[in-house]
Amino acid sequence: MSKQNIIAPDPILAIGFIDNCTLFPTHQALFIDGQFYTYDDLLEKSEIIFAQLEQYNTPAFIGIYTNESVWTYAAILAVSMCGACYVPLDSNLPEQIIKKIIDESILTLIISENKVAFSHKAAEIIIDVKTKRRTKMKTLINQKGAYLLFTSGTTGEPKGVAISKENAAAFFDHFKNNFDFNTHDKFLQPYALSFDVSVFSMFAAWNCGACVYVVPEEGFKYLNSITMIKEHNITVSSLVPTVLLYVEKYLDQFSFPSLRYSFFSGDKLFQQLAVKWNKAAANALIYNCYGPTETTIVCTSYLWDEKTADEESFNNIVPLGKPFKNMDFIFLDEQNKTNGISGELCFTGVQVIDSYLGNKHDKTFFDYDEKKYYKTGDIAALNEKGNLIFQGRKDSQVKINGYRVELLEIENTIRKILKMNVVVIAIPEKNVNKLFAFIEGNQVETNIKEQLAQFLPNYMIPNYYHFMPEFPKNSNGKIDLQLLKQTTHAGKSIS
Amino acid sequence: MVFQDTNLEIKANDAAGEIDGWDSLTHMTLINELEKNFKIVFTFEEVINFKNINDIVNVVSKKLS
Repeated sequence: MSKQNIIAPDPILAIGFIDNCTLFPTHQALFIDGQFYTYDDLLEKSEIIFAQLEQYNTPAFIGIYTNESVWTYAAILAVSMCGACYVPLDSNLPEQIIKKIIDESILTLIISENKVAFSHKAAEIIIDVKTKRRTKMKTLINQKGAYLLFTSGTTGEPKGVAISKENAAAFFDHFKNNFDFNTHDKFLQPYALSFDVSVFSMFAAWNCGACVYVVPEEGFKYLNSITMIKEHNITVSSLVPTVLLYVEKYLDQFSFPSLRYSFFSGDKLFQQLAVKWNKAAANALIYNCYGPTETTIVCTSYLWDEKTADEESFNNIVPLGKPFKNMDFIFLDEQNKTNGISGELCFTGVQVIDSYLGNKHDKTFFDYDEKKYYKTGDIAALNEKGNLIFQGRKDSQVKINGYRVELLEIENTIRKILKMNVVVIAIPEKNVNKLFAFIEGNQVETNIKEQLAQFLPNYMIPNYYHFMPEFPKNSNGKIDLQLLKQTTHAGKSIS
Repeated sequence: MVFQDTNLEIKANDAAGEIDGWDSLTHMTLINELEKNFKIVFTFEEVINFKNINDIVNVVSKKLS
């Protein structure tokens, strides 16, 4: 999309927060690690970081080495306020991945509470947590970026998705126009900051003077989400549907009367789970949302209704609903021709990014009817009520715990380590995807999981490893994936 | 096998977070296996408060006695 006709710069992400610091300075803004921080407290911490930032020639992208701390959240606000684009560097990720992100986004500056655990080329701002020196925040530079995240790529190279201020403003416009979030709301924040829905959990809350409740990492994070909703009377929750699968057998014992809005996104929402969740969250409106990172968090939603959701669900999966106001879609068939009924879902509109960082992988973007479209790789169709329904993936991507995972990336990494032929398949066990790696050759003694952990995040490391002298082939000479899958059913896989 | 690792040694006081692969999903699989094998039922409060093997052993023993 052309930005040339835009005169006024799009508002920075933190603008709502700054306004609410003036209106509601004593309201709670953040609950993290067992402690509350008011808007004033969080502003003070952001301005302390801002004062340190001011001493540098501010670049367009600034890395934040994240951990579960108020200072990480303050850093996000400070970076946004200075007009730059924040790049979360999740300290739980393997060093190799963080280094790749630093290189890909050519980071020259990283903010961190403690010194980054490994060497890198960027300068570091170690937050001075003891100082009182602060600077009133004003925009220093005005780059177009809001935040930059990386998604899994087929070649083993992560793809940088830079969300512009215009993309983000269009996304938040949808919520401003359609929801009555207010200063009394309590938003759940169960996501890693490298997961884009975290941007919703933080800024949708701060835009309306509400409080963000960060789910503790310690113990079992998904289960902690449920406890937190109950203990803190959360009013707005956003969750990956996988959480419901984990707690399915307890769902009928739960009651969350405080919940007003319950959003799901990141994976398939199964109808039978939505029915149970609806009973537990009896006062909540339940929305199933959909959208790849490239279309800014989510760009469609479906208001779940117990009267109609059952007949509208396809393969027991709740519909994706209709696109947001600033968004539109077309379907492409296998010959790349448009199709009015079903096909690969392609989006156009203000929430679609221009391109990947460095204009890589541009095949996923195309122009049609003088508009720029993004190919999602998801196959969808329209039902009679005009709602989009999900029918499957076009390629080898799968969802693991809500993360988009490219199986080819895992295969490439294993191949590099073992120098052996490998096929990775995701097979659902009780509706949760488990990763199986099939390796052609004799079993090796090395600890593959340990080696993979240097290059891949935990959720991308296969659960099972099966060595075989030769892969089964079909009549076309291709690897017979069905036969491989049957091997797993025969219980021959080793871990 | 819940943890998918034949070489894994878990000590009674090892916290869940320190053991590779002991996440929400593994935890729920472990709970299901325990319930099936010992013919007991855990409440959600018990499930969420299990921080290490010691906690689990204590609750299982209580339920069996």
